[in-house]
Amino acid sequence: MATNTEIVKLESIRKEFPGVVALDGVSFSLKKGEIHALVGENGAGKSTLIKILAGIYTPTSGKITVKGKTYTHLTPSIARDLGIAVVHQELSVIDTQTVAEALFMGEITQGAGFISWKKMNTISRNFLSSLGLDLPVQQSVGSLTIAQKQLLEIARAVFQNADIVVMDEPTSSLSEAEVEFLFNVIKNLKSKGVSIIYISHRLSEVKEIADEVTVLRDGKVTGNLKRGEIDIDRIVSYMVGRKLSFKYGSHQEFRQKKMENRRIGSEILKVEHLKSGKKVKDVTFELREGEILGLFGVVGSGRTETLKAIIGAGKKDGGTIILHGQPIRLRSPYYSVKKDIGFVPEDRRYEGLIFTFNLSQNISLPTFVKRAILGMFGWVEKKLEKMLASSAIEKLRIKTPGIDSRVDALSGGNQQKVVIGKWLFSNSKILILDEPTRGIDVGAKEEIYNLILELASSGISVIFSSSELPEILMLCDRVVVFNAGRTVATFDVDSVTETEILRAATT
Amino acid sequence: MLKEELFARIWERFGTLIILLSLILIVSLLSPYFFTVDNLMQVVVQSSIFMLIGMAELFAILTAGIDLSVGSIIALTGAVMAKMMAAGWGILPSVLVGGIGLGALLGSINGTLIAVTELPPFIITLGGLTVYRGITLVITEGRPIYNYPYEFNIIFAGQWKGIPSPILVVVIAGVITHIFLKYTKTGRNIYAIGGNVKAAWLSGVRVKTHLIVAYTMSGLLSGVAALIMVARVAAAEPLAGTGYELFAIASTVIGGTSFFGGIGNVPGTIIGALVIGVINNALNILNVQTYYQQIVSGLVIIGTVYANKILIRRGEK
Repeated sequence: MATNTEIVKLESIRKEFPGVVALDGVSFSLKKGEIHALVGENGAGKSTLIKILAGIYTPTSGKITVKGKTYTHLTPSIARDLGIAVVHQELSVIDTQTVAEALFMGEITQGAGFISWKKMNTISRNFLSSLGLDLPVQQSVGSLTIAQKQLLEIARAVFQNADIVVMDEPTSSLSEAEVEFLFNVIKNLKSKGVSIIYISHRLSEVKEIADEVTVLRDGKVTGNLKRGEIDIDRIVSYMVGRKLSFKYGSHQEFRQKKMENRRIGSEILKVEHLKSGKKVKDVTFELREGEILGLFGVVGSGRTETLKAIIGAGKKDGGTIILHGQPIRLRSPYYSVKKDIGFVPEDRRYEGLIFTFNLSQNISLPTFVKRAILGMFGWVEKKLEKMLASSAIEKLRIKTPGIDSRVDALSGGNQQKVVIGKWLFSNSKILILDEPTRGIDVGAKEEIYNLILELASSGISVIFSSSELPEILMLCDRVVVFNAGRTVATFDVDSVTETEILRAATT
Repeated sequence: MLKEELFARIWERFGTLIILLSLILIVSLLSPYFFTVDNLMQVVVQSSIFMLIGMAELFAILTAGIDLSVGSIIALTGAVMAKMMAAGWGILPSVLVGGIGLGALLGSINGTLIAVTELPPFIITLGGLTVYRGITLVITEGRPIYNYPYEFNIIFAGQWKGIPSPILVVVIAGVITHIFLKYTKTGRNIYAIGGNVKAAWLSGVRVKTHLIVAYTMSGLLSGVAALIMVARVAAAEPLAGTGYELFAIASTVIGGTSFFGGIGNVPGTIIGALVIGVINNALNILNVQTYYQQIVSGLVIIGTVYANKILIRRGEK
């Protein structure tokens, strides 16, 4: 088979968002029947590139050539007509449909306006088995496993005539055996001439499946490896070296500040061999008083689930949690709040804020829970509420029209400060932050880093979970590395290289 | 502030009141018998049950749930209370145990089932609606109970210093409920659960406990409504309160309570109940046949809630 025809060619693609350059002169080419891996840390520009290819974003400048035709930008419908399909991490198949229905996706009228189930099922069965897939076509999608759903979604893209398939982190929720199976399907597709862009954080998988690897960092291509030269160490070396951007201060100033007024005490929390659901297999780490402990791992490595299991918001299937030397079992977040543990969730809109509450009501919620008998009885202390809100606004520099303004009108950074503010004045001893800087602008990020430092120097112990290595390296004292539900290494941040951490997290 | 935004703010706060006053104005123009002291007093007394069950429903809907069993709780608590009085228990113990206490117990059963099974409140209270009605029919053998001391009717359907007792009961219950929701932590947490149950839970709010409290309060207030229901009819009817869940839901929703939870209050619910009271009264005064009354009430309920929705949303754009 001729695999040298270039089917997609992106040339000098640049994409600017207000205040950020997401892609800076990226060139990328995909050949027919090739599996081309796209690798890079969070924020490196992978998603932006994919969205440009799918016609969702219009590049600021650059050329896109698909199947010999050149465009300045694509639209979702042009992309579809060109045979480009993206299979996302979040699955889009509908649970109540049958497998055959999902495959046909609306185009099911066969004969006099009625659905011919028999015909649909036969076509589906034949098609799926041609890919080496043996899915029950008459069963509902809801009865499939996540891996099967993912395969169905890939099959559907091809069934709908896509021959350029982008797979975004397809293995993040699959077991090893399922990954093997997925790889067989991918190889099968390749032999049929389908070209695949394969996005993954798992470098060992990339090494196994990819014909070519392109590494992105800070919106630029930093490396390109062909089959035969693909080597994990080389990939990692292209990934490292990201710089955090500062708006107010500089890296040096921050490093200096980090060391001031810090006293790290004895162990306060210890997690041993924690197991929770499918995502957390064996997690062990300890947190010391006044320490900022980083939890690093790629998306889907089980950090969020670990944190939720610790505070009692997720099930705990095994292991011990030791707080102040005592083994404890926190049955729900109420008990962790009572034990002075604060939790800032990853998703502030759905888990952090109450949009029917104003700013001061949001901030006072955990304080009131703590001060009330059994978490419920007692008067709403209006004076205290006002005091909490105004000190939070002042200390966190929340930009808001007033203490009783609606939180949905605030910017992302200010909303995040409100969520952090809930815990600051409720006397928390341990503050757990899950991706606290996600989706907020550079200035607000910097303010949050400074705030975390201030908290740590006041004696609060902080767990800072992030998929952004540069911020972990800058802010944390130690880092615990997660890989597929296990803690694989713990490093002192000052005596470790980025490469070592990335290697541990991705292989 | 934009003109539209200002309008939306005013409407959000006073919209239901504006609807009520417009209704009163329209009906007053249509009939000379409406706007008299006696008749208006009558409207308030007639609406008192809607106010009580409206507040009951408010608790459920604030948590983003619903309570369909309010009408059946009225019947069951009314029957038990009447039986207790007829058996010589005395008025006060019967009211406290058989009326209010039993109401709270039935509500707490709803709440516990909702918290434990995690089934939709709609399903649990739909079950409650038929089970509680069924128990009422069993213990009354399908017949009304009126062989209890007549003083009960005088106390709860009569007057005190010229003020009708139902109004007094509503004022006391309304003030307590308002204070409970607005000034206690339990009330605050109920709003939090309705606003965003996940965020509330992660902030330490005990969601299950508060759900049980909310449905217990709902049952308790339905039990209070039973006092007035029995006293005004002068009998505990086994079919009392049939279909009242509609009035309860309508009162609180017309009063600005959001079906998604977390938004709503007692004053709004009281005004919402008055809107329904005025409609029912006006249709009587205007000699509209009973059958048509239902049609008109239904349409007015949809119209009012829709008006609320579009007028408030206009300002949010």
